[in-house]
Amino acid sequence: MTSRTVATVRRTTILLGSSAALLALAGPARADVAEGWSDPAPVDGVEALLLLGGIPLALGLIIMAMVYVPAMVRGERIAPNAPLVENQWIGGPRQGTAELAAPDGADSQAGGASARW
Amino acid sequence: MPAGDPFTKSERFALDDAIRKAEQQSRLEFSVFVGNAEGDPRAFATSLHNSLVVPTRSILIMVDPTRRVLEVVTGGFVRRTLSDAEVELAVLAMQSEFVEGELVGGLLRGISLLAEHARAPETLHAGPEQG
Repeated sequence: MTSRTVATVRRTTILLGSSAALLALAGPARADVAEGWSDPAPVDGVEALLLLGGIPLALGLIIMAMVYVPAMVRGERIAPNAPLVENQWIGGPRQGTAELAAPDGADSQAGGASARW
Repeated sequence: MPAGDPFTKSERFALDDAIRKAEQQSRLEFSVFVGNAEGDPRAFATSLHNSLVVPTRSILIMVDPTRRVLEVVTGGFVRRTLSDAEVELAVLAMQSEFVEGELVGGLLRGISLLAEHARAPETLHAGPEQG
């Protein structure tokens, strides 16, 4: 073991030892409540869980409701990737696009034109 | 206007009216589909066209505003009076309106142009005799 390693080990030992000693000294002092300070009853675990977890959860639910409920009342689609436009077929069959005929094949007699914008 | 419905009541009325007039003018059936084209737009448009009551006498205009696709399908009988080149002209006119965000305006213009071009030419010899 080199002298440099020995020095590092010694330094680390001193640091850890002094930290542990400080914590050991501070431990008993932490147990006593200072004079003049309030001395509240210990917080129940369930109560703490409700306070720290329940309130953010409730807030999240309220915000979600504020966002989604008006849209749902208006009948909007709220699913992810929902199409922007509802199918509208003027002059189409009553069943709409539920039962479509097959597309034209190679021998199609149909004409027309296409475009994109 | 319900959410997702691309037309207001007045716009739908205008489209219904335009289609009725176009059908009277051309003696053909008009159908307008505005929505989501599934898969290949042309194949979907021909599926819609084939689902109509009389496909050969029908003109289908399909617009997908989300994918920005426009398809016009004409039946075999329609093609006797309405050529693909004339349909192309109507499609270009509609396209220019859609670029401006005028969905209903483009449809009305397209229906009007298609009906105008599809009108069977008057046979002069069949008219009432003059004098």
